[in-house]
Amino acid sequence: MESDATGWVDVERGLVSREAFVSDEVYQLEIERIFNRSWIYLGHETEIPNVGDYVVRNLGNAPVIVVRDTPESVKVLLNSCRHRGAKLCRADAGNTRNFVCPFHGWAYEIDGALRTTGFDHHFREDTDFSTMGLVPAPNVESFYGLIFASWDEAALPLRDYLGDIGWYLETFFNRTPGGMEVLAPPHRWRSKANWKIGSLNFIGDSQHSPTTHIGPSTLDSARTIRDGFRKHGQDSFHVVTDEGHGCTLTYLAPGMPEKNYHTHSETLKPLYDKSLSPDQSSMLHHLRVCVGTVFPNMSFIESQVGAGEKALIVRLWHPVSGTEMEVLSWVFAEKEADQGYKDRVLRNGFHNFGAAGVFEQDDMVLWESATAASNNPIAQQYPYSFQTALPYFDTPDENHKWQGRAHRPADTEIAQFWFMQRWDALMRTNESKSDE
Amino acid sequence: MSESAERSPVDIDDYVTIQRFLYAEMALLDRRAYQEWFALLTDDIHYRVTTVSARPAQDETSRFAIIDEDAQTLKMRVDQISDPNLTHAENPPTLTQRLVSNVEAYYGERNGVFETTSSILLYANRSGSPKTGLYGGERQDVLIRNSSGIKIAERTVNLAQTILPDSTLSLLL
Ligand code: FES
Ligand SMILES: [Fe+2]
Repeated sequence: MESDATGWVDVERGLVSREAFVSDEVYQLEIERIFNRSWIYLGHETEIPNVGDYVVRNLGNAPVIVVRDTPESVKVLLNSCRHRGAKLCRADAGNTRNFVCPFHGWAYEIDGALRTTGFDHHFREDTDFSTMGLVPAPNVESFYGLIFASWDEAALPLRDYLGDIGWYLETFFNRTPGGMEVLAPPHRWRSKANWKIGSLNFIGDSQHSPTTHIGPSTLDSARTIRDGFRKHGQDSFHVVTDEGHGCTLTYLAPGMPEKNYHTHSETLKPLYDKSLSPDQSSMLHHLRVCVGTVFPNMSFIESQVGAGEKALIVRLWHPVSGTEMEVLSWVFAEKEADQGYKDRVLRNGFHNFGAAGVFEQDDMVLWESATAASNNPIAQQYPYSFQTALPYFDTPDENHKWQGRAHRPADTEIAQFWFMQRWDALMRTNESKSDE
Repeated sequence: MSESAERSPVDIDDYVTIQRFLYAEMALLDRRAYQEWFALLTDDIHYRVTTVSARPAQDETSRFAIIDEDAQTLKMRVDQISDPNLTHAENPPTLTQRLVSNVEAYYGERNGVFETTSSILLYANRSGSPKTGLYGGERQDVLIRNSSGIKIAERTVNLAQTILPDSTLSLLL
């Protein structure tokens, strides 16, 4: 597909071509122009605490091993032997001292260097084995334990790429001295839906909640939060930041008397005040829900639904094709929290948002239906509407105190259209940043 | 179960009673009589469904829960899929057939308590979709018999699955 063949996003009219949400050609171009150039979230350092621990993930559509090769460092290696391509690791996770290919026996160190082919004596004498290690991702960085990698040699430093959304991530992942830890292996499921629907949903699709989630918002599981909003009113807004990131924050209406760090463990509250800046703690003090997306396909949500503890969840929308994604979902809690609290956060978290989540189950069938119904030329004559972004798109909230650009009202598609515009800009670039 | 050698298998009358119960209970779910099914659980039910994170064969299996409910949270799940106005996942309803077999039953430590294992295969076809989800696994139950009949006090469904094949799971097993 040629670079001038875009025009998927109509900025003037707030429309996006349906082709962008189903086409396998678009998917291939996304891999090339977005997934192989951006920083992609792969997992959390607490999943691989010890040297030799590894998890198997995808960087773009390339299978990779994320391995702790020394106590201080993590490597991301293409999970494909340099000889004839077999996978070094065929499990989801494990611990190893080295990677030995099961096909013909090439052996690699855990940092990926080739130790021996087993047949070194049959190679020509001038063979440079030092160039024949497992292919490493050139850029791997961790942001408060969140491991990101990029295939792009010339990628911006991760902190610059995250920019202002980093301030919000830091508030969630660095609010105690010990930081956050993953509580269980990620839930995984395959959905016949385009990956961008997930990213858009989490960056700020407030409009879907009352209808998609009529179940949990009618039943007890969302009672506390619903009743609070009914009684006191709610204050909700989008935050968008450079590179296409964003989030939606929801509070009770201003002036409502509320406990600081509502529903968080009492033992953790003093630690928050120690770790967070004054602005960050005031952001977190009365927060009810924060849901956001780090471009392109990592999302997060901290939400209090039901009477239980808030759960912090990270989500990966891994693209499989134009019409399918694999979803990974992790639940986090503070390292310092006691086990009982962690257990409750985990259960509460995946009761709502997980492979059998009472929210997720209704999301998924509707996302799948949108993907299925859009995958035909008749439907593709009629673009998706993001029109409720338009009246507000150029008028950010000037009183916003924190990082990023805030927009109201939140029951609009401002953040989603922000994401689509960044997507469009990247899809139009033919050259990678390194060639600019 | 590793300790099964020491436990005594139930006699044939109890075995038939338990088997009938397990069949009837699954028939309720296939008929979408979710509230009737819920009435067969004790007030302190612990209901879990687990999947696997694949590990090398020499390592221990890594199982983790995707559903872990007490009576209160399980009731929400049941209420949601019971009410056509409150569910999209189950409206139109998934067409299902649950197969239960390989039932083993032992007397528990207390009188009237049975520990059972059984195999479950859930065939699930979303209406209007050519796709069929298959969910297979082993169930471990603790059943309690009193004057009013048998109730389920604990259920763990260990699915033989790492990635759920057909989106998220809105059904019960
Ligand atoms: S493919 Fe790995 S040793 Fe041959
Ligand atoms: Fe949702």
